Amino acid sequence: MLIPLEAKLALKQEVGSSNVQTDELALLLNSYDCSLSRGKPDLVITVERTEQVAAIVKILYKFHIPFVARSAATNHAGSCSAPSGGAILNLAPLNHIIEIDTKNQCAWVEPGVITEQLQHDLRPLGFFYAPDPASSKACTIGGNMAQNASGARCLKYGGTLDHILAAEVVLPNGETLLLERKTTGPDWIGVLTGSEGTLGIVTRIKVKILPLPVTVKTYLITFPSLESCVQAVSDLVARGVIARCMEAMDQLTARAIESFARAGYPIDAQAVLLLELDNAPELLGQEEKILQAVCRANQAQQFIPANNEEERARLWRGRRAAYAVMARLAPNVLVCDGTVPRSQLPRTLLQVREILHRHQVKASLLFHAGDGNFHPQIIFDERDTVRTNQVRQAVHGILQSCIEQGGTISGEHGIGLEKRDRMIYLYSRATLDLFARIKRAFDPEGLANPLKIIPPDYLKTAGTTAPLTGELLQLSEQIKKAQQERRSVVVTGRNLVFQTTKPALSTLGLNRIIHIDLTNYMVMAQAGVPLHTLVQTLRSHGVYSVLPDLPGTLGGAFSSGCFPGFYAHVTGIRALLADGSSVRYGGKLTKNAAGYNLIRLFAGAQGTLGMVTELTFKIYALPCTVLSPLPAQPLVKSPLWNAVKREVDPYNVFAWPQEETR
Amino acid sequence: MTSPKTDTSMHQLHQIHTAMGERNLYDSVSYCNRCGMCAPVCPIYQILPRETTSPRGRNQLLRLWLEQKIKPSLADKTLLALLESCTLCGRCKQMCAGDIPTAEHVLEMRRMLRLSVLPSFLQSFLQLRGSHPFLFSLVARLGIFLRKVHLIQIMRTLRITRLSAFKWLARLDDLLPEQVVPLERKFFPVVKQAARFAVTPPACIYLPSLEAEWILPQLARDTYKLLPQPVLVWRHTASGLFEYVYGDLARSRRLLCRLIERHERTENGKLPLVTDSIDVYLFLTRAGQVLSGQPAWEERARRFAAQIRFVTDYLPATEKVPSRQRVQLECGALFERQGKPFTQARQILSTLFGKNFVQCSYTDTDIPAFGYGFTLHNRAAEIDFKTVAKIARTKTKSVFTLSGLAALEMNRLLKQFYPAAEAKHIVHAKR
Repeated sequence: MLIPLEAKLALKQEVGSSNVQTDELALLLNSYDCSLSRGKPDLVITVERTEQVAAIVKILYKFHIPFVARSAATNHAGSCSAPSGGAILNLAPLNHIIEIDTKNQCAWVEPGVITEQLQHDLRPLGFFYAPDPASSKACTIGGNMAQNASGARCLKYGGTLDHILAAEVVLPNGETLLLERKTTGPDWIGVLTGSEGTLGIVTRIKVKILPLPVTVKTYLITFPSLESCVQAVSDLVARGVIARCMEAMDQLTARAIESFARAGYPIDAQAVLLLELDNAPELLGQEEKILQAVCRANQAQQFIPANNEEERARLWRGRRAAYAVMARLAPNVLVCDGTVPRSQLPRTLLQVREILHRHQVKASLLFHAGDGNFHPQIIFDERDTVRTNQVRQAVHGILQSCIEQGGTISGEHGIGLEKRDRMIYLYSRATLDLFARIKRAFDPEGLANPLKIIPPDYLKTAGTTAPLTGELLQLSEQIKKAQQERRSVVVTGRNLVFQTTKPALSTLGLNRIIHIDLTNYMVMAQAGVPLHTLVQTLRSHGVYSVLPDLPGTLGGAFSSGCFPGFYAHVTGIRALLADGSSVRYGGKLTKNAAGYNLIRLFAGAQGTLGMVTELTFKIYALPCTVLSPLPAQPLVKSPLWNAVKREVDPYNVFAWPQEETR
Repeated sequence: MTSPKTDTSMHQLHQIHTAMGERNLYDSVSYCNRCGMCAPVCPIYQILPRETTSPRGRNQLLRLWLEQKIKPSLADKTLLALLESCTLCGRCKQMCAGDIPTAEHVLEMRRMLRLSVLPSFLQSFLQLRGSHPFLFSLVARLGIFLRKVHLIQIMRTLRITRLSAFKWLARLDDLLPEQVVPLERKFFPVVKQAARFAVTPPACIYLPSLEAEWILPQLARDTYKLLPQPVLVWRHTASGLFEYVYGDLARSRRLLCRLIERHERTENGKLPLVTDSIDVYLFLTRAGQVLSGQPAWEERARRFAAQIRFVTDYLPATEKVPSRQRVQLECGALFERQGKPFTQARQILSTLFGKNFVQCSYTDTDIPAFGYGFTLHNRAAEIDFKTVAKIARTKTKSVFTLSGLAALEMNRLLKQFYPAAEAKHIVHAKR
């Protein structure tokens, strides 16, 4: 696209002429990331101070120039290229750690801070930042937030989403907002995390930091099959031991690593598990005994503990060398990313091997055994177009296999351009349309990182949701009717928090606990299930959740905003929208980085954006700390909430509860 | 595989030797998977974080060039910035999973563009060492004399050194110790060599570096004493490294061939050839690469490269030095940051100083302007400051280097910013 001279002059005035590059070479060098996608921008703006971002975005908005935020550009999804031209905002110079507050266990950082740099600065203070993407020595906190990156420690500590406490965001119109987790309403930070820069640009981030664990112990365990390896992991979780890392690989990968890194990996086992426990020394001893018992029960062949720091480093050297092993065999390594429920891992991995074999593609196969996230690392030469197409087909096959197993097409890498076309197989037209509406609410002009995540032709290509039945169908019909008649309803459960007398859409009919999954440690329940029933039923199965035994329903606990601590435990959601359509997001998945996070959108939204009908959330083998309800907060409408509401529910079918009660 | 579209007509190096075998330039650069792990460790990217000053950008530039997607020109400022800013330190290679030799790629691009990064007088003068050693010696002695009679000081007072043509002179003046004393001719038992070797054949050959011969005689003396006697010393012998780095590959090859021939003539090429400069060591171990495409020389070059040794091979480190002072290893070198000499140096310092040997973070910089990375004029100060800050932060007292040139450069900085510490060649670690 042609950039108006006036816009260039204004930008040069704002950031200095040396920070605005328009020459061909600079543009070509900003057209790639670690994926196969390319997109050449029309200008590259280097941002040296956070305050400049808002001013730059205002200029770009004024001249209707699309823009893409970029810092280290290490992502595998094609999220930071500019396929429709426009401007690249190079945020890499925003690499200052502004403040580390050990008392309140948080740190303020700029988006260009390299993740490992933060760890390096925290270590002498006795703290660490939990998310640990494999590229942590190069990737940035801003990039981690954009992709919702996580890493090996995700099962125990959660992903980037769980470690962002506040963020300063420049919206696509240049307006600056400070978003905090304390405010009422939807969890906007949750929505922004993983949005790949399509909703705005983050300029300052407040992250959670944690005290370094007292003791860490590392073990290398081998199994006769992938199934026994995954079963051992499930059994360990069932016994209440959540390991810090559970990195696994199949035999082919272990052999390749061993021949390269000589890390002492047994080469005769079908599956190798590198497991790490961290806890206080006395508890670690107990956990180790449980681990040994679980391994024995699952026919583990070898159990090799690292007895000192040197041995630990050697074991990790093997795992860390996995990428290098592949990178030296061929010019290109495509790190694929898929996630399935943990119980489906063995079957999916066998399918993946079969797909790779069918397409005559070489790959190593690594997986985070605890959270069902796996990474085939496919080697090829992108100069060979025939081979590259085979690789693409193999990747599509793998992602399709994930979808069929109830998984997702991205656990931590994001969608970008690379997987955008696969989104129609993962989500229904209604869900993709909801994503598009969220995007429009934040960015009506479509300027922020355009053409990413949502397939442009989804209205034609995406499928419809399975037809609704029973109570859900009735509720959907009621909502449709309300919209046709232009009247509002209030979604209620036990009607405890916002007591309304207005026409209510009750969830009480949705009172089934659909499935208690003791392999993945997830429960799937409808929104109208009373908390008391839920807690008692779980207890009768010998499992526990963080929800208390109080009056009220599951949907109420999730939507009212009284249990913000619960959001991190929710992994899947179904909801009815204002047009009566049903949307689904997530499932029995620990990780999901495909699309905008609808769980966080509906969480605390008090039924104003849709009616939550079903939730999937984590349960535990041992009693865990039960959440205490916060007092009902007065509803404060924010401009962002209003904007999303206008797009998602233009006829105000789902009324603001407090307005109705007034 | 090679794409039919690639332009190989301008290549000067035929093969690049990597840890994974020999590759042509296009294959070598194609192994860059664009993962970006190289960027945070690049000293230039650390101060100018943008793609147009990153190692990944340099590799992608070469690829675009070879695929004829751009037409390179010296008038292109972005291209010049990419090529001139590289300090050839090889930190990017150390981080790269694919072991991409980015510094070699940059050198090749500079050669293809005939890009000169040194002031022309300095370049001509230093080239004399290989082509006309006697003349070089004469000019060098004249220079030392003129400095002794304060000519450079006078030029500084008159602000002549602020003129762009003479800026390098002031920098060189800063680099050199107060009194420059070349290695005395009589130190090595040259005259008696023939007689001695008739009885006992030499155990090794010592090839003193330029700095050991002209600026740091103690380095040459200490290295000599370290080596198994009797030592055959090859004085005033240019390796071809200077020409390799600063553009004239043909001349570099001629000098290297001359060295190989001389080595083969001496005890049938069986003697280890020892150098005190990591840069020279890394260059000579690449002899096969430098002479690739020349069938008569390739095999001989490989045999020669197998005989190259670095001083750390002979440095005994069996007992701990009773010192409480903290020490660091400055890895500033051309092309590489890993390999035998680096591991040996770390082990030696670890044995000698135990816990007082300070390990650095992967993003800590070294001085890229060391030695042959003398290319970055306008940004050197920022990197210098970061390097010294690292030393001051860890309260290090001694910084050990792997070349005399690095020690000189480091001492210049320490004198300016952190006089509490001093830099020494690793040969002096036990002193």
